[in-house]
Amino acid sequence: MLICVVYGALSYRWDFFPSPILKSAISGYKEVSQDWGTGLPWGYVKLEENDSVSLVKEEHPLMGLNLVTRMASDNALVVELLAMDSTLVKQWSLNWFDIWPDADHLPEHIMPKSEPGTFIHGVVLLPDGSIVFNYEYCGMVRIDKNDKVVWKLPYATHHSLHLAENGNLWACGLLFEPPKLKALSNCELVERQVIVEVSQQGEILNEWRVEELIANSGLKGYLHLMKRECGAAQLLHLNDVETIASTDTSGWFQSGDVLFSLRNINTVFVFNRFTNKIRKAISGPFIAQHDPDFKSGNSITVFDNGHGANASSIKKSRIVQVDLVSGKAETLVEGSVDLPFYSEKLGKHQWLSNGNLLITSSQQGRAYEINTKGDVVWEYFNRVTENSFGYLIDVQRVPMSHADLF
Amino acid sequence: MSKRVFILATVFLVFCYGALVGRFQLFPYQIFHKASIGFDRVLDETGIRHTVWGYRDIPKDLKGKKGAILTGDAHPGLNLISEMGVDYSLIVKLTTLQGKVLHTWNLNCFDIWSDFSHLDNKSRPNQEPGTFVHGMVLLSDGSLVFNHEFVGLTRVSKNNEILWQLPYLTHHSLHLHQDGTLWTCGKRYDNLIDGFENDKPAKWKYSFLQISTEGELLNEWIVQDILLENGYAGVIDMLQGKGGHRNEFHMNDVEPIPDSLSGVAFEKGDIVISLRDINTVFVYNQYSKLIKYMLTGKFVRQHDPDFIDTCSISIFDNKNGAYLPGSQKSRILRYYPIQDSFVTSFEGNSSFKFMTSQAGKHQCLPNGNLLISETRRGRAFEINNSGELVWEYVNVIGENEVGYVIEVQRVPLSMGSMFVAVE
Repeated sequence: MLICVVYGALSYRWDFFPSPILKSAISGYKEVSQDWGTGLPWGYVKLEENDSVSLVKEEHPLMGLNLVTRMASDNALVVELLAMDSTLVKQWSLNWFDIWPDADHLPEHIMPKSEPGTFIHGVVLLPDGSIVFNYEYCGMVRIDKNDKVVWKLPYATHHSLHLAENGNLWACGLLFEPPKLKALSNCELVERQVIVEVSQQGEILNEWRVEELIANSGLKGYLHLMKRECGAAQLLHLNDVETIASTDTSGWFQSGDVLFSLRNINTVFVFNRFTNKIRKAISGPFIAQHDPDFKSGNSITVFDNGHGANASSIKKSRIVQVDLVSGKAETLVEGSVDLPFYSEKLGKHQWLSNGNLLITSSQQGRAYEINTKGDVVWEYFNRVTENSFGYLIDVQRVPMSHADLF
Repeated sequence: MSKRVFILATVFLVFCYGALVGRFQLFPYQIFHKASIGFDRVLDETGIRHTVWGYRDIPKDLKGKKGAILTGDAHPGLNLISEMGVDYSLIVKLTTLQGKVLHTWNLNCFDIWSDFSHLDNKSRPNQEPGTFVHGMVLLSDGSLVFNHEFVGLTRVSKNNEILWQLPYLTHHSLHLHQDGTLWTCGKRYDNLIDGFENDKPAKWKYSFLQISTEGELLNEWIVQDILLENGYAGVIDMLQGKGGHRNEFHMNDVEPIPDSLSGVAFEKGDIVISLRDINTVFVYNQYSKLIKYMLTGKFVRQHDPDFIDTCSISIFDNKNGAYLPGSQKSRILRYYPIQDSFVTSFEGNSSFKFMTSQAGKHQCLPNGNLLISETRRGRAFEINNSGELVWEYVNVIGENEVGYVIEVQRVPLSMGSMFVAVE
C-alpha cells in the first residue's frame, strides 16, 4: 500500500503512467462541471437579469452592412451579412463536419470530434461575395456566395484573417513538428506559431515563424516567458496579424510593417516583412489583449481584455491607444456601470471611416458602435434563446454595396 | 473474481490518494519530504553529490586554480568577497589582490538572528546554511552591512559585534548611495492573518527600501504599485502563460543614480530596478513617480543593472535557459536608452568560459576594467579593456569542490588600514 501511495505521488509529479490519464479525466471533469455550472456549453453565456435585451438601436451609426460571426443556437457556426436593422441579407452555415468531413491534416488532439468541434475565428468578405474564413486551429476555407466550397487550405490557421492592400490574406497559423530540443524530446509533436500570407486562390505565399522572428531580433527574453512544453506555441498564444496600409506610413510606421499579438505574454510586436526584424515590442499597457490595429502614423489601438486585473469593483475591458514614439498609453473606451464592457477572452474592434468605433465584446454576445463623443449609436445582441447569448466572435462593418451581390 | 476486483479497486484508490498527496501535499507528504531532505544532506556530507545550494564540483576549466591569481594590471584596491565557505559557513572577507586576508566575518544566520519570528513558517531557515549573504556594503568605519537573503539586514562592526538588525525580508542587493543611505530590495507581507501571525500569508509584494546607516527605515516603495500607477499592469501579469502568479517576477536589484551621472539620459532621482523572471529592467524617478525606461526581453534572467555614465546602464545578462540552443554563456551588456541600443561589453566564448545561470554581479572599475562575479562557477575575475584576464579568484574549499562566489567588490586600499592582515 505504501509503495502504491508513493508511486501515486511520484507519478503525479513526473507524469508517469497512469497520471496523464487521470489528469486528462480531471480536465474533462472540469470542462463538464463548468458547463453544468452555467448550464451552457462553451460558446454560450447566460443572460443576466440586468443585461439589456434591446435588439437594435439606431442613432446615426455609419451606414453599411454587418458581417457577423457568431455561435448560433444548437452549436451552429454561422457567418451572416445583416442590414443595420438586423435584416438578414445572406447566411453561411458552416458546420465543420459538412465542409471538411475527410480532414486528415490535424493531429488527434486538435481534430474536431463532436459538434461544433471548432468555431469560426477570422473572416474576410471578398468583392465577389465569397468569404474566406478560419476554422479555429483547423484550416482555412473559401466559400462562394452560393455556399459552394472554392478551396480549402489544410493548415491549422486560427484567430484572425486580414485582407492586405495587395489582396493577399494574412492569418495566424500553427505548425506541428518533431521536437528538436533535447528538453522536448518526450513530445511527439511540438507546436510552432507562424504568420502566414496566403493568396486568394488558397496558396501559401510566405511563412514567418514567430519564435525565430523574436530570437533573431535580440528578444529571446520574451521566449523565456513561456514554458518549454510540447504545446509551447499555444502558451505564447498568437492571436492577431495585420499588415500596414500605405496610408498609415506617414509617421513611425514603414512600408512592410506587420503587427502581431501574443496574448499570454501581454505583448504586441511590430516586425518588418522586408527586414524580418522586430522593430518594436510593446508590453505592459494591456493584459491578455486581442486585435491590435494600426491607428495612424504613430499609434496602434488594442482590445485590452484586462482579465479584471486592475483592482476594481467591476471587471472591465477597454480599447487602449498606444503611441509608439512616446510610449504613452491612453484609454479610449472602457467598461463601466453604464456601459458593461468585459470579454475575458476573444474580442475585436474596428475603426470606421467616420471616426466611430465598432467593438465586439465576444463573451457578452454583443457588439456596439460608439461615436466620437462616446455615445453608443448602434448595438447588436446575439440572443440565441430566451435566457442565453451566443458568443459573438466578430462583427465587421462592410460597404452597403455588398448587398447587390445577394 | 470479486476478490480480484476488490484488490484492483483498492490499489486504484490508494494510487489516487497518492496522486492527491503529490498534488495537495496531504499526509504523509511532509514525512517523505523531510526524509528526502535528510537523504540529500547525507549525500552532500559524504561528498557523493552536492545537494546544498552554494556548492559544486570544480569546473573542469578551473581545476588546478586556487585562491587569487594576479595575472596583469588589475585596478588597485582590496576585494570584499561574499562566498559560501567550508561547512556551510557564510563568509565575507576583505583581501588584498594577492589573496591575503585582512579580515573575515563569519555570518552564520542562526547565530546572528536570535529568532525568525518576522518570517512566515515556510520562509524560516531550519538548517545551516539556511540562507546566504546577498548584498553587502563596507562602511568607512570598517563595519559591514549585509542582507541574509530573505531574512533581514544586519550591521556588524569590524570586531564582529552586531550593531543593529532590521527584521524585514531584504534580499539580493545592497547599495550605498552618495547621500550615505542604503538601498535594498525587500519583500513585504501584505496580510498577516490575525491570530495566526507569521503563518503563511496569502499575499506579499516586492518592495525596495531606503535605510539609514543606523538601521532606520526611511522610505519604502512597492514595486507592484509603481508598475500599476504607470500603466504597466501587463508587465506584472506577464508570467500567466508560464502558469506563474502575479507577484513572482523575482526582483533582484535596486540602485539610485548618483548626481554626477544625471544629464543626458538620466536625472536626479532616477532608480534602476531589475525583475529577473520577466526579463525586465526599468528606470523609475522617485520625484516624478514616473517610469522613464522599460526594457523587456533583451536579456534573459539578468542581474545587477548599474548606472555607468550619463547615457548608459550596464547589465549582467545571465542568458540562462535562453530558448534556442547555443546560447549557454553569460554576457555583460551596455544599454543606451536614448538610442535604444545595446553593446556587448564582454561575453563568454569557447576559450574563456563565462556562465552563471543564477546570481552574478559586476563592477565597472574606474580604469575601465570589468570585475565580474561568476557566482555558480565559484569564481570572480577582472578583465581589462582588451578583454584580457588580469585578476582571478576561485573559491576552492575542498579537494574537488568550490563554494559559490556571491559577490566580489573592489574597494579602496585605504579601507585596509583598519584591519590587520591574517597570515
